[in-house]
Amino acid sequence: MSSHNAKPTPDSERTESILDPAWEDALRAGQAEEGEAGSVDAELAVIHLLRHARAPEPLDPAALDRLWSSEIAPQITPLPFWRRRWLWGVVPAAATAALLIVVLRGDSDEKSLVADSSTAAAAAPGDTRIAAAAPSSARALEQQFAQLEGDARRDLGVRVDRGRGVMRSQLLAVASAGDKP
Amino acid sequence: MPEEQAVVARAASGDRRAFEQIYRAYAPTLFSYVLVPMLGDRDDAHDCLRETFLAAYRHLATFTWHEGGLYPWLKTLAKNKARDLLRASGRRQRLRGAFEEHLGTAGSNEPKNPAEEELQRGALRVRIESVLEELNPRYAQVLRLRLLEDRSREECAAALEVKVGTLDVLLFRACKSFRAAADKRGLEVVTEL
Repeated sequence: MSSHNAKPTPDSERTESILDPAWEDALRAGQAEEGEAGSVDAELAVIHLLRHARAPEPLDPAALDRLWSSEIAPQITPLPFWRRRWLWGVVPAAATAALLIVVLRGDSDEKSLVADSSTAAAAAPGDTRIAAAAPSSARALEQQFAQLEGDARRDLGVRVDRGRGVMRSQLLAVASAGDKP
Repeated sequence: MPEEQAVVARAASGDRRAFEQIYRAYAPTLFSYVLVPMLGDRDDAHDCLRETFLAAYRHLATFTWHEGGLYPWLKTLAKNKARDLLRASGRRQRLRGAFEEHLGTAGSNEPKNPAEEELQRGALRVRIESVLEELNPRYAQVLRLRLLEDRSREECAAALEVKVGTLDVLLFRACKSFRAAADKRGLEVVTEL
């Protein structure tokens, strides 16, 4: 028997709660002395029952407060909008996106301004009024042409051909009149 | 709880202070009389208590007021949470030290409020005494002294005229004997839920 006396058993100096693990140690020590082995859960349940009949396991005021303030209250208190976690991801992302748009648009506006000024500079000296000479105007015309529907494009093509023919005949007439003495 | 119906109505409409009043009124009883007996473990009882009150806050709007008040509803929630935990932890763990089945408070005797829980405990002591009377007097004495009267090991050993080391053996035998006698009398000591 003495070999198990050193095992931890409920301490006589303190109040033993229902669920003190030392109760199980005491049972195991007794079981071992009896030469038995296996679970002592049934006997432990008897101890828990009798201890509960004496005084139920309490939830002390400190534990009651702690459970409320650190585990329940935070979960049932709605967070103010500035403390919501998603806000910390969305706001910087939106600000970055807005900044990016401003920078990119500013850049493209600058480029088109440069292009317009170079077109104007190219067109001004000769005053030839040739739209094709200005790259940005030609590109704009190309874009507008591409935006037209199929029939409209065909119609425009016919009219351009016709205009070109008329112009050619007028030029020939002028040329032949010039050859005359 | 005074003016319970009004407090419950305020809590159901999202009043956190009212809900805290409910928590402070019922959490200790649910812990001591429902969760510890069902789980036999303090940490598990603590976790279940938290889950019980979080679920209560979410579903309080669905609670319909009746004469018995809020406690039976909270008790059902707590039992369901404990059962969920037992299912999740498996059969082996559920046996350890849980003693809810021993209390024999099912059916119409189910306590309706904390005061009734206390009364039930008084009735339980009477039933336990009747089982103790059937035991070998030495076994009954070790259980009374050590578990019901909270005497120290040394005091118990002196009263029983045994060495302190022998007391563990006596306690183990007494617990086995109590279980068998209780089975015979219908004070359930089954270890399964």
